[in-house]
Amino acid sequence: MYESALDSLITLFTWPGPLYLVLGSLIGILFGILPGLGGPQVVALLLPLTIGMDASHAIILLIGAMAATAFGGSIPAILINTPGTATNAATCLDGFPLARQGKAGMAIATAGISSALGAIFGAIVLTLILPMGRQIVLAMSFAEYFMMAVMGIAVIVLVSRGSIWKGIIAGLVGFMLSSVGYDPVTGIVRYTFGVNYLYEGVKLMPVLIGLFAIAESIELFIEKGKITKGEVGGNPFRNYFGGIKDGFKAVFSNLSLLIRSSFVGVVIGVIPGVGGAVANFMAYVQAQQTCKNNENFGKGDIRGVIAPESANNSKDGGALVPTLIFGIPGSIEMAVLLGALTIHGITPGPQLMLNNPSLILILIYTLVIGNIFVSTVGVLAAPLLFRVTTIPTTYVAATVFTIAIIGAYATDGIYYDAIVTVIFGIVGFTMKKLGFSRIALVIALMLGQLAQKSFHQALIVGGPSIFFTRPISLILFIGTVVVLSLPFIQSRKKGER
Amino acid sequence: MKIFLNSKKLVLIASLVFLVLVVVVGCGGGNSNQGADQSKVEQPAETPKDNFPEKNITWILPVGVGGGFDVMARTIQPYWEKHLPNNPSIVIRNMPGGEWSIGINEVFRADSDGYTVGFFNIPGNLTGQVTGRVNYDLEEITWLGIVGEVPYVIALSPRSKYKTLQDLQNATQVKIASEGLGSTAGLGVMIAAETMGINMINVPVAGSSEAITAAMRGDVDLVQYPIESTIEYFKSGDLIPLLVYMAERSPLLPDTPTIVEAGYEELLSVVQLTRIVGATPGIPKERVEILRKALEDAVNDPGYREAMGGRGITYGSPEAAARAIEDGLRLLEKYKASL
Repeated sequence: MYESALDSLITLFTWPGPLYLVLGSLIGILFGILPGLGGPQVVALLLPLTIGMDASHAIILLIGAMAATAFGGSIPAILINTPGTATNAATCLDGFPLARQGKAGMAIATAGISSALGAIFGAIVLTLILPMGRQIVLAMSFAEYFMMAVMGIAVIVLVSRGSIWKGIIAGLVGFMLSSVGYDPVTGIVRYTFGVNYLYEGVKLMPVLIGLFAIAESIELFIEKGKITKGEVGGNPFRNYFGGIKDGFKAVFSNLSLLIRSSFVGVVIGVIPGVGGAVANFMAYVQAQQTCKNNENFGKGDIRGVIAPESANNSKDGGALVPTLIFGIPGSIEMAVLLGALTIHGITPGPQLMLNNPSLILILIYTLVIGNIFVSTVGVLAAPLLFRVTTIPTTYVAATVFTIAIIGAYATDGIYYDAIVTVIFGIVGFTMKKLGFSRIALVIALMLGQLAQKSFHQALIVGGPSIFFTRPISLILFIGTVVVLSLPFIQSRKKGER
Repeated sequence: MKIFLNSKKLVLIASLVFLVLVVVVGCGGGNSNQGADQSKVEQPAETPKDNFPEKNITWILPVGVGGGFDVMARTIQPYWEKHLPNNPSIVIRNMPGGEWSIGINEVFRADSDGYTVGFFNIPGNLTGQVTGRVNYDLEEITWLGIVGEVPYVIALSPRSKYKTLQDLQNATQVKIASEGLGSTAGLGVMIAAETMGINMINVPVAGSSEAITAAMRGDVDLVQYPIESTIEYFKSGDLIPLLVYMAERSPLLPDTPTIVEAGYEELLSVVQLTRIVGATPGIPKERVEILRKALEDAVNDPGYREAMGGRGITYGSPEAAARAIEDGLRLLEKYKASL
């Protein structure tokens, strides 16, 4: 595979390669920014356009767009506490408080740099692992998926600020929501009340948009003034470059965190079935638990932006492993990408690396270079985007509200999605006011189905002992127990001193 | 915690919500004839000479982007457009959900003017109406033609201790992975197992790729899927073909015996995936003929054949399609209890 390294690079830079790269990236950022539209949608929408194209150009366009959404989505997450895509939800937690403090420019610049570096990390790992990807993917079975899901849900406890009980309740609500729909194990349809729309379950995207975008805009309507509470004076030039400089400083003084978070992202990306959206939460929590002086997480700690943003880009590299090697999508975007590859005559699967090594390399290069391009654009635009936080909140809120509902509808063209969004908007607003963690609900909704399904699958395959006899599953179980007891151990330690 | 909402702001929020909902419902619940491409061409008055088609045709795919049906539809699309008079655009609209029923419902709901067509997965789609989960009747669809018949193959895990059909039949329990009875593959493997006397237990999965990986890992012994989905794995040794559901040996798997050789010829019509194009009930006959003929020409177009690389192309007439539906329904009625 590595022999075609140079040729593939040349193909990428030969016109119209760069054109597609730029085009794809820009469209991708746009899709990322709009809540409700993200990686899967941009690939699905660009797909028909690529049909007449050369396969390598199609890849450049699609991957360029897909990769760009991960960064694009961080922009509204930081500016208006609304994740542009599901993979940016954790960025809100510290990104928005930073915007409140007048540091939106720095936050966006940081997000951009972390995204680019995360993508590079992911691509490096992808290139190294690809030959060994088989063993890795085959080592993960139902028991492991279950343990991962449980670990992910256990993480809720950690993410809950304030009352752990409220976090658990929110999580349980999410878990209950995840059981709506046709249960593939028993063949029973649960809680749909005869509504066909709910047959395949409560969709994540409308819920996410409602809980965050709509709830936030309701809150902004009520608030007066501007989003930024801090001082915005000073020399505009210095502010412009100051924000970017601070961003670079922040990332490079936390390189080990960035590498750790990228690692988390890649690992989660490699495991098919655990959605990429989980990656950014896991990275965030990992940062929160492993960083010194972590009291400021959730109040504007820049490390809370570095972690999720690097993870949600590195996960793309990871997700390509099962996708390319087995034709098993590592995430939703990958599923759509698979279709795109098939249409262009590229059959993912065991033979892919032998038949089309140059295309794989083009893919990897695009991932890296596309991300760098996108991040550069983002970083340069950051101080300008910062201006959004100085607009009176009513205008921002009205725009967000409208775009969010349209975004919810636009995903599949089903207006029930928009209704769900509004309902969860009200739910989200209420949750905020009453101090319930919305993220807990979302995590449980995302992982609930996986947990239930893999539990049954594992049981059928190997009986109850399987969770403890398989080494990886056992390790994950112990890990979960450790993760859950960490807060208690820490507070005991503090108490003893 | 006090909520600072005075009545003025409440009214503002409420009216905004109402306004947006009205707009969304108005646009969303309306005519499915307008696909993603809104080209509003005036409908001609009922003249004796019908110039069909005069605007875009919407092709509803009740599946997500990227699967076998989606790929096939997108490959046929340019050829179908080419062979239709007036060269209209065919706009593909993916409407996944409800196990095909959301998209299928759209086809039923559309106007009977021939501007909406759909794609169907037989016999999988029939399960819904046999169990009463859906209230449409696929026998009413205006069938335009069969465009693909996908032959299945039984694939064994290389890590399974069962190597032959005898082994499977003698085993106390064989683990199988499939999407369940609502899917054509799941239905097929269940019926096959029952017919051949194999005691199976099903591990439910979300799709063929999940099932195939489960077999590769050795979590299950057997999966049953189209040859086109599994051929790569046979080549790499990740799966072992046991039997093909074809009348004669497949040129792709010349060493694999057929189900006929194994003595179960009756399973041939049962375990198969038929891709059928159909449209809303009640379309005027002339328009149906136009659509049907263009589809047939498209499938027989050498350009299309080349694009598909010879994979699973057949053309079956609308009558054959109707027969496939009838056969499918009869078959499912027999197994209704287990559905």
